[in-house]
Amino acid sequence: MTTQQHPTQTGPSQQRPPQQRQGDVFPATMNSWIDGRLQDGAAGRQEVNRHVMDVYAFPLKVYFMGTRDRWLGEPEDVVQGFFASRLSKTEFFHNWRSSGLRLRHWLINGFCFYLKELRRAKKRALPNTSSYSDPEDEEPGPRQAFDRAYVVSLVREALKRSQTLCELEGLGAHFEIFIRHFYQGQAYGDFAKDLGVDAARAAVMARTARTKFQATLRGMINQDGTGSDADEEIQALLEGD
Amino acid sequence: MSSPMTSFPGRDFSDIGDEQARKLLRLGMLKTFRPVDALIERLKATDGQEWFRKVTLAAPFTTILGRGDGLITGRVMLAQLTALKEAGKRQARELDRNMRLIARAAYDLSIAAAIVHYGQVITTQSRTELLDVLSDLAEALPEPWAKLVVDATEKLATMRDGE
Repeated sequence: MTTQQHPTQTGPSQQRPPQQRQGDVFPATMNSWIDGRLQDGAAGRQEVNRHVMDVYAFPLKVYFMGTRDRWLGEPEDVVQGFFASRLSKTEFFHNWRSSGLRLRHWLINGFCFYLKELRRAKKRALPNTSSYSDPEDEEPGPRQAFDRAYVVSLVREALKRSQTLCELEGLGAHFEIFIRHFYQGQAYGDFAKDLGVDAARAAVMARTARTKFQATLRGMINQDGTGSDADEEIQALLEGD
Repeated sequence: MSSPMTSFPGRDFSDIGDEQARKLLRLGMLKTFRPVDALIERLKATDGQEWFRKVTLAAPFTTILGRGDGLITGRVMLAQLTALKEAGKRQARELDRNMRLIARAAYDLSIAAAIVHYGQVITTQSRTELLDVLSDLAEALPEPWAKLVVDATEKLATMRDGE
């Protein structure tokens, strides 16, 4: 598990802007989290890169596995090669901001270009491999698989971060109950006594942890978005946009 | 709290599947305005408690139960509670806002009373959704109605889906 301070974690050095809307602990200022970190020099840049790799490595691998470019290499190597190639460029995130695209769409566009570069490089290195034709640029199957994998990766990372956050705030038991009910689908009445609370108390504790998870997830969506509402982003993801 | 455990081993959630992730993603959405929120807003207004006193003396409470306090005492049949809930649903289509708010109160209180007095969930809403609605409503209601709804949430929390 990563230990870096994410915007979704309320560490001692972090301050929340005043008068934030109740229930949405990630106001518009958090949309510039990436911009803010990028202004913090190498350390900030590293933090942004780690965030991108944590959330997007898995969906990019899934995307790659669905394309006809699988011959280019092992998914792990190809994706890490992409990160090494693009995330080191200072203009990468500035260009993303200018594009107005969601970060995941920007990354996948960049990944497609990267695959094209790899194909050309392989062809140059192996000129007699005429069977390696360029695949179609737009393949809906892999894109859909990417979006599904992105949801899995996003939720998994939000769970990990909210787990860390709950532990830091002494809410480990709350998070455990949240997981038992919302992740494992257990009824409160089936396990509450094992944890030393009654079912009603367990429901209240789960709500506390759920609020942390919700805020974490929304924060992650906001920091990768284009300033649009997190609810709209979630709806779009659920509808497979 | 007398929890025997305060810390749990960290997980990496590597076993999460597509559907599970989509279900959890939905939790990220802030509550859209639910029908019960209008009732809660009315109850929390400065004259909310005064307004609520007249609610149980109006239709559909009076037409179905005669006296609304049967919901508290338990002197009410399960069939009456179901009828009250259905009458609430019908009345919720009225143009008059006050009528719609009373209808919503009838709907939620009949569900709460059925859970408390009969251990029956007379709605198809999910347990989680219903727990949220009733928990929020309990905070806005005056006594003894708040207790009725809190009792319902406590009982509901012990029930499994389908009970």
